[in-house]
Amino acid sequence: MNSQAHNYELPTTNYELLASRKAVSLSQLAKTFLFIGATSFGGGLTAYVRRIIVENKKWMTNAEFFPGLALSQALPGANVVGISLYIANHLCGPRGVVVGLSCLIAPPAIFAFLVGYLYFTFGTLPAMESILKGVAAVACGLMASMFVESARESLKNKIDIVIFLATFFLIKKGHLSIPYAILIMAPLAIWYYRPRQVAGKRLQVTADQEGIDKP
Amino acid sequence: MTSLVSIYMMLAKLFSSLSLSAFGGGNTILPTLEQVAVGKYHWLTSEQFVDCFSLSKAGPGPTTLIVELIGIKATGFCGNHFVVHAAIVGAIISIFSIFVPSSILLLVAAHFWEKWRGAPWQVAIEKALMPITCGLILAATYTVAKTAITDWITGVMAFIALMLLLYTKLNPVLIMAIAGVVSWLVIK
Repeated sequence: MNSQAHNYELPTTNYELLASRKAVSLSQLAKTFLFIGATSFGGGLTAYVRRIIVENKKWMTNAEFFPGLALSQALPGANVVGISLYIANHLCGPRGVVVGLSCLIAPPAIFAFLVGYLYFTFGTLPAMESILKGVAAVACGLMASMFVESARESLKNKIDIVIFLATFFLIKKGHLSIPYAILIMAPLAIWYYRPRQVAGKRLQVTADQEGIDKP
Repeated sequence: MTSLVSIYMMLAKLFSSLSLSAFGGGNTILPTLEQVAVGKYHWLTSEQFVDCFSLSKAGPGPTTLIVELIGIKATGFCGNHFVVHAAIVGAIISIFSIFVPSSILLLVAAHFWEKWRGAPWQVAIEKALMPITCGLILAATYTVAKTAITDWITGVMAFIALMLLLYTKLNPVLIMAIAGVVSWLVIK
């Protein structure tokens, strides 16, 4: 009887927490980031991380992932480390960040140490070029697939498409570096999506509902 | 001859300041890194620097791990023969210096991001960032494609990889392993 009553209580107290995020334990997080760290060859690593976390593990949605990617691109540091930090913090908090990043960096760091020792001792590069060409091609496919997913998730109206194209051309044609492109585009886009006063005191984001509201 | 401890200090100072100036990803620090590590401190030759870049790009993990290779060379090989414990300390100092400062900054941002999740301005910023990120990803894809697609074989491989990734649930590691074997057999 007593335990039944206890069981009945539990879901209500944890309901919001469970609804807002998947329960991922520190050891699951560690195992996954060790795997990512050990197998993240060939560039385009943020796309690789998205594939594992969003598609395979389903620990996050695209809607949660992409803003994190934006944060890590806007701030200094390697993007793959940034997005991994964001994911670990989202899933397990600051403790998760320490565990996740250590696991992400340790395998490639050990690999680099061994390769570095061999290189500086013997002065030759391992002949791996033909293998790496194929791996790099897959990395390119990975990036392209992340673009497709990102476009699906984020281009919801005409203004989105204008913001997207403007950002791309600022970087590719205007040769702006990424932070400058964000500095220019973010205020414009945020201004467009700013919370607006609707019918009294309640603040709402209405930009994408404008079309529906018109009579 | 500079003492080992002072080299540790130089590594920590150089890499932690680069960590906070790496706006736009790790590759933006490379010119400064070369200027200081090769030109100023002569830890390695510019030929070795280029090789280190290839190694860290080809190996797993972020390309930023080039700092670890530089740290190993500067500390483990500063005498006549390789000193393993000096190299290990040098590697650890290099890794912490390059990743910790930028990570603390991002952790603070991520903390407030999660804390304000659902607030009107947070939702607005999130909506605004989505199409911008999409543009950044396309730009990155373009850059990766330019270096990765060198002939029709790699082009076809990238396209097949894209299709497999979009329409199947295959693990990318499997696709990479197959692509590695195929290109090893096909591209001499």
